[in-house]
Amino acid sequence: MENHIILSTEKLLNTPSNKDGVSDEDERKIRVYGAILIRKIGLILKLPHYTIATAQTIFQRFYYTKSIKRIEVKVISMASVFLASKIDETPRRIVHIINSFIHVQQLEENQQIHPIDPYSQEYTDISSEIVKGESYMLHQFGFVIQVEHPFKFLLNYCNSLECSQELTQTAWNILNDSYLTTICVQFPPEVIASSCIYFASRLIDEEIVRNVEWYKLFGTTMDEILDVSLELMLLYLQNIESPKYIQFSDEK
Amino acid sequence: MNLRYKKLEVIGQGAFGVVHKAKDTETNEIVALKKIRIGNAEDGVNISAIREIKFLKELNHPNVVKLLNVFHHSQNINIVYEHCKKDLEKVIKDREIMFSPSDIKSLMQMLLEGLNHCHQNWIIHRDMKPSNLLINSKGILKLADFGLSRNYASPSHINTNYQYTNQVVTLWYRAPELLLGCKKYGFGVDIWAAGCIFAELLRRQAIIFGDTEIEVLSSIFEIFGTPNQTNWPGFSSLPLTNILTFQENQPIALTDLFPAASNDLLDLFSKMMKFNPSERISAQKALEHPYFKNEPKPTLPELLPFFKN
Repeated sequence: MENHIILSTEKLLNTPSNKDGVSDEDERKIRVYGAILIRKIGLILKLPHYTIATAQTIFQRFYYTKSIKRIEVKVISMASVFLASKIDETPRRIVHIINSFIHVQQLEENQQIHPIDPYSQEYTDISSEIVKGESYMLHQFGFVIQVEHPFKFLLNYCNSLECSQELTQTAWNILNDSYLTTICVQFPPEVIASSCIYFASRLIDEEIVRNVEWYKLFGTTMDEILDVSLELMLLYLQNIESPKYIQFSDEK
Repeated sequence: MNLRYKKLEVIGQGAFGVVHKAKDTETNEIVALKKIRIGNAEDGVNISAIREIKFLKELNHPNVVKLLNVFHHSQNINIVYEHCKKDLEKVIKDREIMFSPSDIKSLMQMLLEGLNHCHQNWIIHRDMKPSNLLINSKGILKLADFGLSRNYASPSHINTNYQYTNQVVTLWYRAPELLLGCKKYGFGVDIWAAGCIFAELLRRQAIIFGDTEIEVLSSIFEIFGTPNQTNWPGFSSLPLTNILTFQENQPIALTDLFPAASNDLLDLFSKMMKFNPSERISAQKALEHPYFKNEPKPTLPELLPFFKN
């Protein structure tokens, strides 16, 4: 049973946004922005961590099929939450997704907090954009919507390596953060899990004593770990607490 | 218009849309085309359609209906399946068709093989009934309609959200734990339903029936006796056990129910219909049961008596 989607190097190197004139750096930033938005909406809606991760994964995958200039990141972020909540059997209503989004926006812009009127034109517009976005995502994915997450691998590995509570927790947090990048569509879950443990052990300076080359037990090479680590380093060099929105798509 | 599939006659009307027989002009294959409306502006794509696509893409087994293609067209999602001529409900109702013990063994074997594959992939079908068991022109039985299915591993199990009501599985095939309001359940609900289908093949009519949950429960208890804390530990703490009171029934002897059935058959049947879900036999164990190894051997699918015309 092979459900995890890993994109080809060719696809990874030439993103649609790249071809559309968006710089690597801007694309990286806007992906972080969208994934953080998904996380914030997901937390307000009390979605479990794996549903948030599914939403972030399909968000990252989508922008390998379309340019961020063509399709608004905010819409796809909400559509990702909407679709992921169905895929993972934790459905949320569109009105709640929109209200959470509006809430996050109002906080970001220091506006007064007030919910959106569900009979307003603005609401109707956003709602129909999300529904269209959802359909469009399914279409772009060719209806392949299975996502396999590294969470269970990570816990298993930490257990068998007798990692401390702190190391396990740090690795778990790094794994959650990894969804802000395209790691989830570049590497198989086993490799991601090993890499997060490795990165965490370096970060908090805790040796994994059981076995020096422990990652080999889990079918991972040092090259792969270094590739993932590089992506993580690039991520943590950015401001991921409050990423800035970049306006790309044309205002309607 | 999608030109690849040429629609022929309507072959079914499901809860979520129409099913057409269609011709694939690229391969000249006859297929089944299910059209699912995207639904209203608030709900987006139907969650049953998403489930069906997700699970069928995961499953790959001769006894599970094959998903050939999915595409969008205007306001609809179209799912293309391999075409199956009949379903088991029609076959059971067709009085012209006679089943030999070997035929029944063959059908049950295929049913359990398909179910076992689902369960191995942690998928509970949740809507096992004769009309969801399709039969193709070679006599192969295939599980279909995964619109109610669920991942067993899904932790949202414990939640009391609307998905996880006990309102799954068509009433007559619904396991007693569901009828009694249990919200945590497992593969056993599929096995119970499979047992009901087994009985229906033998008797050519359902043995458990009723228009309401209470009627169905009474119907179950009339045959299998009223369960108690001994044959079903945990029975007395089920949500509805305390609210409802049932007449104390003694079980009917299975030999009275199926006078012509062999002992190995009755043994397997009784293991599928255990009240306690954790005692109920698994699909895998059921397939290893002597019933399938003993004489008479199961009929080869292509020799099943469905397509004589």
